[in-house]
Amino acid sequence: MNISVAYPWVLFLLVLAAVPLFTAEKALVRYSTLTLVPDDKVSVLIGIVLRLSRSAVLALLALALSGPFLPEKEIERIGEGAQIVLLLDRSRSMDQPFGGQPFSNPLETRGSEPKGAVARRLLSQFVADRRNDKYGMLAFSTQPIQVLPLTDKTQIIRAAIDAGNIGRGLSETDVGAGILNAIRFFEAQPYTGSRVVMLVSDGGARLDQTTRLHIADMLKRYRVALYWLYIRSRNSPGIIAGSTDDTPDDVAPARVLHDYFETLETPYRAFDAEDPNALAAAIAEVNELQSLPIRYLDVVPKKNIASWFYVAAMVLIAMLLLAERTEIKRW
Amino acid sequence: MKSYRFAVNYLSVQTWPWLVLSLLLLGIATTRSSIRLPHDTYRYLFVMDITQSMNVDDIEFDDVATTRLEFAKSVVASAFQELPCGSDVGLAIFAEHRTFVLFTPVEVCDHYRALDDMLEKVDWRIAWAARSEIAKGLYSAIDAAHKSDHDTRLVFLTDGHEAPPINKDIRPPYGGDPGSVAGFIGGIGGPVPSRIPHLDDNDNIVGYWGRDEVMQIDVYSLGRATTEQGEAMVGVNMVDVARRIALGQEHLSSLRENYLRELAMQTGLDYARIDSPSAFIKGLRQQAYARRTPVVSDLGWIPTTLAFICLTYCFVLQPRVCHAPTIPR
Repeated sequence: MNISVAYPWVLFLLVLAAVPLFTAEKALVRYSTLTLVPDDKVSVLIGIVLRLSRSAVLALLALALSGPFLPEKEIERIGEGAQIVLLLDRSRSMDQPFGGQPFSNPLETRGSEPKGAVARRLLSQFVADRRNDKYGMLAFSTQPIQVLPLTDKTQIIRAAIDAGNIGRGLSETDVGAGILNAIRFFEAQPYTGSRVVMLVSDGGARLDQTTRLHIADMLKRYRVALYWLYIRSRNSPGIIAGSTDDTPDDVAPARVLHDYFETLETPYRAFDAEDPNALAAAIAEVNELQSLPIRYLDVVPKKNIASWFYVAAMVLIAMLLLAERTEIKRW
Repeated sequence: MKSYRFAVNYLSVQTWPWLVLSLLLLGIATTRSSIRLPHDTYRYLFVMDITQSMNVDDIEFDDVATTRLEFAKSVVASAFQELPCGSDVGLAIFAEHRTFVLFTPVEVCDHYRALDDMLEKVDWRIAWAARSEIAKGLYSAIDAAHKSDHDTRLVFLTDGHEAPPINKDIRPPYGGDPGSVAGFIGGIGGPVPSRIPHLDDNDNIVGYWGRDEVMQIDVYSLGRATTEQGEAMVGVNMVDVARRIALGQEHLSSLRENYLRELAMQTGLDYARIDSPSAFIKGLRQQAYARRTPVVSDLGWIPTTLAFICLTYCFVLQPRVCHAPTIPR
């Protein structure tokens, strides 16, 4: 345990604490024969203890005033919770209306909720529901942009999700690079429990064979499960429900991607944002995963310990008070 | 009067009232010293220019030549350390023609680790396009700060290098209200035009942007690109275009303070050149940018100091008066 102080200059008060050690102990009662009384060992001892206590009280208060604290430290804990990297599509297409809401005119876009907003709403709920997990976040469009390292501070995760509400999306979408970068979050991390890459996107992409192999390999190597929270665009075929094989592949890139993910050896699940139960299903799924307890480093924040000094000082003062009250002052 | 004198007299010889008093004071210090007091805190959105001109290493920091971006990151890192707890900070990056918010402001002390980690990851490589339209980027940053919260202050760290260059007469218009968002543009970079490096995957310099690799003059001066090539646009000075291109210095970059000052004036922001972390912190902690928010503050030191004085008095200074033995009459 190492204690640090916030205001070291206050410690000069410790000099004052030494003074009671050297002051002469005066007898309160002047009595002619008192000097004749032989030294009493117990009395001398009590005298020393009282002196030390006075000095200690001053020292304790000087220490309390100097702002003592235990610095922040990491301790290993065992708990439950997954490591989840949110891979959020922030391309321009996410600003367009979400397909899972009723509309009369397919070209009318006013007043409809954009896909990005749906995604952020679902993610916020997800994070709010599973606050024991660690989250990282990666936004992807042309380039994957790391938004957050893996952290368990829910407030900053929300701030990162909220940031998507500001400004429009970026131009393009490169799902492959996004997934690869998301998996790399786990590269330097010890395997402490379930790992999930949660892709939140509206569309598919044609991944070339190299990227496909690379993704499959990386997922396997780092033991990462892939979840896709699919946000369907208006007028586009879904990936799971209602997607029939007679839709040609070239108008349903999302399904092509889905079909590719299905071939992965590592766990893969797709959730359709249209399905009101999708979010609950996703949450339940992560619950399933984390059956094994995970070890993680918890940061114990810095702790102010002035109160320890206060309590010790108060005990000593109370003792001195008692001693003072029992002292014989006159007779 | 008499009782007053008696009390003073009594207190000057007795120890126990002082002990009791200090006990009470310490009781207060331990239990009721946390009070929510209005404090100056800040709410900043830091926008980092991550365009390639920020890779010029023309800043001397700790006696080492540092790139503008590295320097910008280190001043922001020092801000994360120095801003008082209760302040909020958010981070955004600027490239192409817009500001991309990574996260909206969060409390700085509580999230220090995540903030610091994240700042470390800010890199010129995450830029999504190799353009640097400062004015538009600044406008979108103002918009972002405005949307985030009304008391969010903006700090836009840039060298002011527009690429492609803009036409002096046809500036991107600012649509907002000047002064709707407070804050400042932080100018980063050296005064001497320097070459902009090409970097490889390991950030080694593999070359420099050449004269013919960048646009030397603005698009308007190049004239219409439609039916008749190079047809002059109305109100655009097209004299000497070829010469201006030949003499262009746009492949070199220096801190363009005058331009940033103009932008600041136009948008109602302040301008400050950032040459050291301490100057940056001083700029951030200006009263004009502060907001008064109740912050839990520990005032335990007040009763403790009083108790310390009482005890020093009764242990060190107080005369121990001898009482003459009372003689029974």
